[in-house]
Amino acid sequence: MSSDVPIRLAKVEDARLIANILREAFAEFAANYTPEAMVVVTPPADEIAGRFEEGPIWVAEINDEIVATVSVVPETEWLYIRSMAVLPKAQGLGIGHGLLDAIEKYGIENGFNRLFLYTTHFSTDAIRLYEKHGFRRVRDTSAEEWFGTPGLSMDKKIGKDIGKMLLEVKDLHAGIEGKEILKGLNLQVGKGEVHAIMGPNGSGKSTLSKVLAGHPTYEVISGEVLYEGRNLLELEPDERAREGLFMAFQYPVEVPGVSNSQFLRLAYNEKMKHHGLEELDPLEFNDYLKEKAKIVDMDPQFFKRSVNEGFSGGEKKRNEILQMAVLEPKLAILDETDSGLDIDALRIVAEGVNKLRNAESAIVLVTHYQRLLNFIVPDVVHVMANGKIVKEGGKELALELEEKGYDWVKGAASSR
Amino acid sequence: MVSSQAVMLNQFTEQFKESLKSEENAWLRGLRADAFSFFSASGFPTVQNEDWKYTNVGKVGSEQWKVGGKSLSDPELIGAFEALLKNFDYKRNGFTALNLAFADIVCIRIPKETKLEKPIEVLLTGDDENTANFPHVLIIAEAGSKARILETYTSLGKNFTNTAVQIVVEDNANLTHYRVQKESAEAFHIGTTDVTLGRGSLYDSTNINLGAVLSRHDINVKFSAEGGECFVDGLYMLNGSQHSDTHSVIDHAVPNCVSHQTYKGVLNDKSRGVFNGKVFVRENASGTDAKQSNKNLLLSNEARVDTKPQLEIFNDDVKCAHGATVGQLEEEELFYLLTRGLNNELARNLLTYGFAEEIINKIGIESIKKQLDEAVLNRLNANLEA
Repeated sequence: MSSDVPIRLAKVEDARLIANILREAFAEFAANYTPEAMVVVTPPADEIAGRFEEGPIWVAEINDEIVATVSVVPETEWLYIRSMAVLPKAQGLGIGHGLLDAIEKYGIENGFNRLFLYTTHFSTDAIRLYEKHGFRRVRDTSAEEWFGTPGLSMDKKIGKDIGKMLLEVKDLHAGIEGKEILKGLNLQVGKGEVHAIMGPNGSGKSTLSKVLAGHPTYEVISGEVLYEGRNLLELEPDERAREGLFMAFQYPVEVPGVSNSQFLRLAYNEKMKHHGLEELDPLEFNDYLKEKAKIVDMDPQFFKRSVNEGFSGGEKKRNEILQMAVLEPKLAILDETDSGLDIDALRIVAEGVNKLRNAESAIVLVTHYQRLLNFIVPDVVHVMANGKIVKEGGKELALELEEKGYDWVKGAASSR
Repeated sequence: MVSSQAVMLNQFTEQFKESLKSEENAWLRGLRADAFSFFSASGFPTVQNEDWKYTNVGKVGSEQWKVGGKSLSDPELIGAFEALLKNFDYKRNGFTALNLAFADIVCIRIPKETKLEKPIEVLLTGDDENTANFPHVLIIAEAGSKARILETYTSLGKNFTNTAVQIVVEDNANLTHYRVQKESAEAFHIGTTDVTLGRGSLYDSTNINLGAVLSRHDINVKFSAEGGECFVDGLYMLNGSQHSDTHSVIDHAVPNCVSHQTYKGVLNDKSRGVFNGKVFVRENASGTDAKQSNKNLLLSNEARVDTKPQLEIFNDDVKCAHGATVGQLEEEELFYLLTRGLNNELARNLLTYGFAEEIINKIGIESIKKQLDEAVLNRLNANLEA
């Protein structure tokens, strides 16, 4: 739906009228907001005037009367949308879409790749508008996070990030032995992206990895996981692997009696067979493996040894990255790959991962600690607590988390 | 009196009288006759005998066997070999007695301080249907020698092999012993290996059991002087209705010896395995280091294994560990392989292969190792391109 109502960038002189519109439009929800929150959603004119410094504001006019408004604040590569309001008498004319179109156009032209906003569950019309416009629900926000009023965050990818979706997790509930661990998790990972999923022990990080890889003892209760648009949960673990999903284990398993090269060649050829591509004989594979081993600086000695048997912690993790290099996954989940590594081993592993970054595949780093992210810089950081994503942001979020500790997000999660 | 005479007669009586005629050594003729009397009185063991509780050999006795082989003595059978043979405790059971009565004797001597590059091969084949063979191999690895022995059993049909091997590893000698039993699926195989270890000697044995519908191997290793070390490892890989029983005794009769034992079983279909491993640490055997493990992998719900590792320790100053496991493939290992794109069947086969390979990898003769690799893969029906 497009609007015929003219939309223009607002001027500082419009501040008073914008403040009026916000006050009028939000009046019907006054009972739902805490008094503190109400002050925030309906700022006075002088504060509106000050916002022109932070980012553009748009207005829509009918007969020279301003009837709707919205503003944005740039946050690195994302645009934060706030203070969107359409007067009751102007609703149903497609003005909301018009405003969002204006923002999206502005965002794309200025190189932003995502729009995001916060709203409240009782703003049902607004949520419907956002969803129609392609926004998705990211997570619930707690009362503590925002002036005593619980709500939700929503976002939409724009510009270069469109059409690159690789993994979409929607409202995933999953657990083990009847105990729910993931409680409504949402996640989107696009091609070429590196995501970090951080969180305290017991937040459900490892469960997420295992559910994505298809571990048989974890059960999905509800929700959806799309991988390249297909239902991932329908696929067996080995099918997922052949389709390009890879998980580096936190505790790689030892397979006595089976040599590393034998194992890797079997795995490689199974994938090739699946895609109708040519398999490699032992000699050809050996050359291929030697090349790949350079990525993690691994001695060919290791090829003959039994898989992971008698390997040190660092060697096991390096071997995981070697497997990743050999199998060339589209989506690699690295489950606590940094755990138990000294700084030198961490550097080798991280450098290996960095060499495997490319525009067509994505990497999800599941980690408790920020230090891995000094070496592998993520595009998006998600913070998990109590089975959900409770915070999302750019790479700087990891540093903030390091500084403030997990109690900062734990409180937000446990209150619901 | 008449009735006891009837008990003494059996299907081997006539054949024994015949074969004894060709025995030229007087002392050995006597020994054979004594052994046959013992057999005639005892018969084959029954499941009432604690040592044969899980292994019913009734079928061996109910078949008609024609004694094959030569039942001849080796011309070398003098001196040290005579003493060794006389030392054979044939009274253990009917099988050991019957073996000695008909023993087809082979003597192998590895001279003092000699290091043999090429392995000594002892190939024992049973070819004609319904024949019973009684090989008896005497091996003396003289002081300071170093050698490898490959002892292989094959057959083509319904045979009965009743074998005994006596080994002496003298002071500071080093003997590696591969015993490969791959008899036909209808064969009966009963074997005994007795080993005595001298001062500072090393005995490393690997026992592969793949064949026979019913097989039993008793291996007894005794340390006779300090500083000896032995490896007594084995694999039984069974399918169909195969039954394989291993009884081992490792006797730390003297101080400061080391023994390692790893036996593994892979059991499919309705097969059945038995492992009974005793390790004795005698009162004066301080400084003993003994490790024993028996691990079994059951690939079918109908397969079964009875395992009994036993340590009997009469000295405090020792290091001992033992254990046994019976189970399916580890779910975590399986999941790991699945996440690398191997399908379920391939992943299971690879893990099973790896489990068996731990023992097969000990075989230091490349051609034999390869044959066994292939045998294992055939068993698994797996195309792993090893």
